[in-house]
Amino acid sequence: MLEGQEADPGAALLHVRELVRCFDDVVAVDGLSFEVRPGEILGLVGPNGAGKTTTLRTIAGILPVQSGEISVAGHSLDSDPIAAKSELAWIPDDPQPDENLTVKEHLEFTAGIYGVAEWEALADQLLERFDLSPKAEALGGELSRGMRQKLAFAQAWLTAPKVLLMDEPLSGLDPLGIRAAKEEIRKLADGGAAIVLSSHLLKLIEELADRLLIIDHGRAMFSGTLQEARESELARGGGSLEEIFLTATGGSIAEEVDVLGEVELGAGGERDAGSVDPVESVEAAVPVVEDEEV
Amino acid sequence: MGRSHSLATLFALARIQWRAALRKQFRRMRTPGGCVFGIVGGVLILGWLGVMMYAPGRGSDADATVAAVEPDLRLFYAQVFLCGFAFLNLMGAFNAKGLYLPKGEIHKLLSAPIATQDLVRYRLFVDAGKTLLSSVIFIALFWQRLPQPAYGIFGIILALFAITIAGRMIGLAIGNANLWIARLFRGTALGRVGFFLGLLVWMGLVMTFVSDGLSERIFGAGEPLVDRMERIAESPIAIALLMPVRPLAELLLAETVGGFLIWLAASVALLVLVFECTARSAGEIREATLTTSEALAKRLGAMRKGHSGLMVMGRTRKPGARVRRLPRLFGRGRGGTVAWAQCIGITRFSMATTLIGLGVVGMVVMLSLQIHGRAEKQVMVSSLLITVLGTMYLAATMRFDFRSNLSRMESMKSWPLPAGRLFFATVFPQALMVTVLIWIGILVRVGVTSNFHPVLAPCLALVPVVVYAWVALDNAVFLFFPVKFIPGQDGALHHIGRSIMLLALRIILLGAAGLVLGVILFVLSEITEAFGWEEGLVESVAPWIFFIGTLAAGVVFSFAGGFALRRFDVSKAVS
Repeated sequence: MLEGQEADPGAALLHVRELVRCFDDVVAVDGLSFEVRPGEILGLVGPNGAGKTTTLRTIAGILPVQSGEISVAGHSLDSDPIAAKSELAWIPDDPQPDENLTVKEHLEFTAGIYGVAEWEALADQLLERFDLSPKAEALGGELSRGMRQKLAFAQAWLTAPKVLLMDEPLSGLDPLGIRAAKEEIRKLADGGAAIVLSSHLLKLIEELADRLLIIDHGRAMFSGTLQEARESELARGGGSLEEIFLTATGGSIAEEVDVLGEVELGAGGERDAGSVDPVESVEAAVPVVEDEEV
Repeated sequence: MGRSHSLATLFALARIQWRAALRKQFRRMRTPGGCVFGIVGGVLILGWLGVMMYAPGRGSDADATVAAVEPDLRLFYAQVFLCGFAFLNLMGAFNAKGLYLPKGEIHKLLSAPIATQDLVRYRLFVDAGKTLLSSVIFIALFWQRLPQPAYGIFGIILALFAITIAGRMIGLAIGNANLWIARLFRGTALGRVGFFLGLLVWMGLVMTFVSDGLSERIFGAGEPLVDRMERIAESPIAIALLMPVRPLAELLLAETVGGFLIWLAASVALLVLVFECTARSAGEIREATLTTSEALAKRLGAMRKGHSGLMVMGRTRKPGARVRRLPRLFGRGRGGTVAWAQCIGITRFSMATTLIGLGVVGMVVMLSLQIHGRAEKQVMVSSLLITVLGTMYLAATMRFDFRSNLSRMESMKSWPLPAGRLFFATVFPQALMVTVLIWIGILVRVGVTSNFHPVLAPCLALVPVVVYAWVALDNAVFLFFPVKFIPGQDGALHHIGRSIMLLALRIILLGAAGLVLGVILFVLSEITEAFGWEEGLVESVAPWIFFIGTLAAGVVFSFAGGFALRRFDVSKAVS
C-alpha cells in the first residue's frame, strides 16, 4: 500500500515497486517489485551477489532509493523515512553491537530510539526467551557471533515491528538457538508482522516461508508460494526447493559449471564445455575437486 | 614438509605479502583523489625527511660538536642511547608475550605443519623488514652526526635489527609457559608492570639529572656534566652493563675501513646469535601467540576507530567485571538516548579519559602560565590558548564520535531518527567532555594566579561553542571523506596526504566563518564611526558577536554533518 491509500487490515505492510539500485556501473537490483502481507513470511533466496542484501538494506533505509518506491506500513520510505523506519526492524547477517553497552543497555537504547514505553519487563522477558539472561551485563564487544545474533533478535522483538527484515538470521546460532529463533519468527508472523527472510539455508526457507521470491542479477526469477513453485515449470528437475532454486537460477549455475567444466575438460581436452548439462557437470565436477583437496 | 622447505614457503608468503602491499599502494593511486593524496603524502614524507637531514644545525656545526666530544665519551653516549632504546623496546615485550601474527595468517600458520622455530624465524625476518623502513628515520636524524656516515648507517640498521629481535626474545621467554620466568609473571598485568617500570626508570633519570641536590649527592657538588659522564663511563659497572651493545656502538662510530669491518663482523655475529637464540629458545608459544595477536588486533581495531594507543591501553573494564550504570543525562527522547549511549562509551574509557585529559590540560595550563601581560589580556589570551590547544588535541586523541562508530553505520542509518539530530546527539557528548576538561584547565589556571577577572565569564561561555564547532566540522568533513586508518600501517602514505588536505579544508572552512565575523565587526565599526556612537561599543559587543558567530558556525556544520550522514554510503568500502 502506498502513502495516501486507505488502510486495509489485509493489505500488504511492505510494498516494493520497481526498485533499482546501481553501484557505479553495476546494476545490483534491477526493477524488483514485491509485497508482503501481515502474518506472511517471504523467503528471499538467490545466489551470491544476486542483490538480496542490497534489497534488504535499501528497504531498511540504509541505502538510498535510487529509483522505485518502497512503503512500510503505509509510510513512504522516501517522503516519510522516520515513520517508515519506526515500523521496521532489521537484523543484518553479522550484527555489530555497540562494544561499550551491555546487553541490557542495548535493549534500553533500542527502547529509547523506537520510543518503547515500559520496556524493562519486556526486555527481561526477551532476555529469557533468547537465552541472554546470563549475558545481561556483558558488553557488546565481549559477545560471540551467536550472542550478537540473539541480541539483534531481542532488540528487534522489543520494538514489536510491523515489518521485519532478516539477512541470514540463523547463521551464528547453536541448534537450540535456531529452534528458539524459528519459533519466535513464526510467532511474530502469527501476531501480524510481515517478515522478509533472506537465507541460503533452503531448508529453513522451506520450513518457515509462506511465499518465495527467487532473485538473480537483481531480477525476480520466481515469486509465489512453494506450492505454486512445485506446480510450475521450475519443478521439472524435482519438487524440492533446492531443485527449484537451481532451475530458477540456472543461468548462474551454468556459468559456474562452465568454469568447472573447462577446468576439468582442460585436463582431458576432449569434450566441448558448451555442451555440458549444468547439473550433471556440477555433480561430475565436485568429486574431482574434492579428490584434489584431499 | 622439511625444515628448509617450510621456511622457504614462509619466505615466499612474506614476499607475496610485500608484493600485495605494494600493489595495493599503486592501486590506491589509480583514482584522481588517491593519486593526489598519495603525491601529497609522499611529498610531505620526503619533505620531513629532508628537514631532518638538512635542517640548520645539522651541517658543519653539528660535525664540529660531535668532533669536540672525546671518542671514549662519544662511545659511552652511543651505548647509553642504544641501551635506552633497547629498554623502551623491552617495555613493549611485556605487552607481547608471544608472536604477533596478523588475523589472516594466525590460524593458517599455527595449524600448518611448520616447526615453531621456523615460524619464529619467519616473524623475525618480517619484523626486520619493517625495521628497515623505520631505520630510514634514524638515518635521516643521525647520519650527519656520525664520524663516517657510510659506515654508521650499517650500525644504525644492525642496531635496530638486534634491539627488535632482543625484545622479541624477552617477550617469547616471558610467554613460554615452560619457563620459570613465565610462571613468575603468571596472572600479572604485564603491560602495567612494564609501564610502571618504565615510569620509575624515567623518573629516576629525570630526578638524577634535573634535581641538583640528588645529582650532587651522587656525582659530587659543582662537578661539570662532562666530568660526571666521563667518570660514569669509566666505572666498571657501566662498562659491564653497556658491554652487549658495544659492537653496535663501535660500528656506529667506526672511522676507518679496518674498524668498520671488524665491528661489522662482530655486530653481525651478535645479531645472528640473538636471532638464533630467539628462534631456538622458543618453546610452546601457541597460546601466548594467540593471546598477543588477539590483543594487538583489538588494539589496531580500536585505533581504526580513532582512539589513540594510550586510550586503548587505558580501557578500564575487565571482561566479566560489574559495569557502572549511567543516568539518562539528556532525557529519554531519541536524541537523548543516542547521547546517553555515547556518554557510556566515554565513562567506560574513564581511566584513559582522566589520564589523557588531565595530562593535556595540565600541559596546556603550564604553557599558558608562561604568558604574562595585563590582567584582562592574560585571562583572555591564556583561556584562548587553553581552548584552542585543548580542543585540537583532545578532540583528536579522545574520539567518541563517528570515527568510533564507523563499523556500526549500518545500524545507525536504520534508526528512526532525523540525520541532523543523530549527528548532533553523536558528537555532542564528546564536545561536552572536551569542554569540561578545558573549563577545568582555565579554572585551575585562574586559581593558581588568583586572577578572577570579569572577562572570565564570557571566556568560559565561549568554550562549548568553540569546541562544538570544531568537533562538528571535524565529523562533517570525516563523513564526507570517511577513512579508517592506523598510523604506520597499510596506506600510511595516502592517509598523511588525506589528513593534511582535510585539515586544510577544515581550516579553510573555519577561516571562512572567521572572515564573515570579521566583516560583520568591520561593518559595525564603520557604522559606529559614521553615526558617532560610543567608542567602546565594538569592543564590548565583539565577544558576543564572536560567540553568536561561532554558535551559528556550529549550527551550519551540524546541518552539513546531517547532510553528510544522509549521503554516507555504507556499501562503499572504507579503508
